[in-house]
Amino acid sequence: MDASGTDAVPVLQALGLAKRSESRWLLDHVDCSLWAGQRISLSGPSGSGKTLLLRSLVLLEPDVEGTLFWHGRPLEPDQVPQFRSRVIYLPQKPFLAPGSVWENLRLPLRFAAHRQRQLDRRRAEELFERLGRSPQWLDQDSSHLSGGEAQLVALVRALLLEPEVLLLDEPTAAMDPRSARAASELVFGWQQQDPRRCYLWVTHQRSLASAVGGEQWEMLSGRLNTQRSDYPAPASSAPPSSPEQVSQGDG
Amino acid sequence: MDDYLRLPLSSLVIATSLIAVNGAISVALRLQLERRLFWAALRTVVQLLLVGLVLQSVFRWQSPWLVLLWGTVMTAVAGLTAAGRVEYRYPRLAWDSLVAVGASCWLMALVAVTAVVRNRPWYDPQYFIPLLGMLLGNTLNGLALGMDRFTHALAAGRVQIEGRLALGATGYEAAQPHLVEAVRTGMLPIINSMTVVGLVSLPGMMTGQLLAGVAPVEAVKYQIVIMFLIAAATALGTVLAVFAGYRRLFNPWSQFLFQRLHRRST
Repeated sequence: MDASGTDAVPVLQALGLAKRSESRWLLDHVDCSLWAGQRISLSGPSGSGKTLLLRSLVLLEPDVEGTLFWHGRPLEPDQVPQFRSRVIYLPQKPFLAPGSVWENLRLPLRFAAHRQRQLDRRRAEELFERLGRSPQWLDQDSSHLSGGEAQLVALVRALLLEPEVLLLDEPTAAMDPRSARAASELVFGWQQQDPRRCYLWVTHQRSLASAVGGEQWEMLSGRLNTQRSDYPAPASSAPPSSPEQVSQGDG
Repeated sequence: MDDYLRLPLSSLVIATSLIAVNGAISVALRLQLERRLFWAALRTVVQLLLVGLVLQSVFRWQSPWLVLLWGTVMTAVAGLTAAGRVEYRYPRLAWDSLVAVGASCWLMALVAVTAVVRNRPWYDPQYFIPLLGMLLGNTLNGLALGMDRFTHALAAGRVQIEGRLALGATGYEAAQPHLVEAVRTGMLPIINSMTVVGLVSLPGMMTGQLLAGVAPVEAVKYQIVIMFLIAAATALGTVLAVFAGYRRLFNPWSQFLFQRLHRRST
């Protein structure tokens, strides 16, 4: 595997991810691979380990057994910040620092992993416009944002960093239907911009699951099933455009 | 230096009976502090008498080993007391606190006796023991405040810390705001007391020297030295302890080991 992104190996591969509580396996030896260009939805009941899996894939969860491979190579400790700057996990509960929306978008630039990066305010304004927000919105104080708006900021912050993988944990759950639809379209657009980009999108909703995913994975009691068959396969591999599909029952 | 009044036993008895003032207030206002007051007063008397006895022999024997031994006991008590005041605990917190208090205070105490006061021999207990004691007492305070702030911030700030980590921050980058805040918190008390020293409060050591008949200017010189030694020891001890805490709660994989933090059970 070379830096040009040929598809001989997965972008991200996990082998034997396992973690247990006193009584049961929270993650029961999960193997999975994310390939360039893949669009995956991950569903499953509450407590089945979806969030834990995503956290484990970016090594946020301590004490997880298993190995992660990034472009075919086992991940080393000192690569982790760089890795997390390319494989971005969006937690369900977004993290915003005190300050304006714009300051929050700029926050990652403080970290060494993003130091060479420039941020174009016009590009940020453009993304927010597609989410139905005016350019002045960037100067809002982050403490005045609703839960859904905070999710928008966190999503735009991640997209501006141009990651190769997004791990999305119910990224639109707190949004109103219109924003949720616009946000989903932003993610689809980001993925289509570069065929090597891929995402794994956690959602509870069937409608959203079939909308976001070329593939549907399911978790049940810490086990991952990557070969689901009970969902009808999407009519085409193109991202969905039907707004009802994406936004139904959100919130 | 013998121009001070020795206290006869009767003075002690009179002073001790003053604790009855506290007792009376507690009963009158139903503060329900009588029991604690009684034990606190008893501990004051017993601890100080015991320490007096120990110090008598340490001072009489003038043995470096005895000085080191007693200094170690003081250090252990200071380190464990500091750790005991921290509300959120993690494994080996007490050990970290002990090492940080010990390293910073002993370093400054040695600087004091070898370079500043220059007493011979360096371990002369008349100088070494009180200097070390003052360093320990103040460092303990700053360190406990700093560590408490640090672990509190980490326990309450998991979303923020993991949010930064998820955006590519190293463990240090994610913890840095909290490290800075903690060290500041630990250093503020000594800075505050340096700004009002002498005007509002006469420090204990200076008071003691004045009572013992030392000329005020001489006592002031000692006080200036000790203030700066304390400031240095507090800063050093707080930084050591907070960074030790950082190393215990973040691993080389840039992971925040939040599950190691537990609230102290009381």
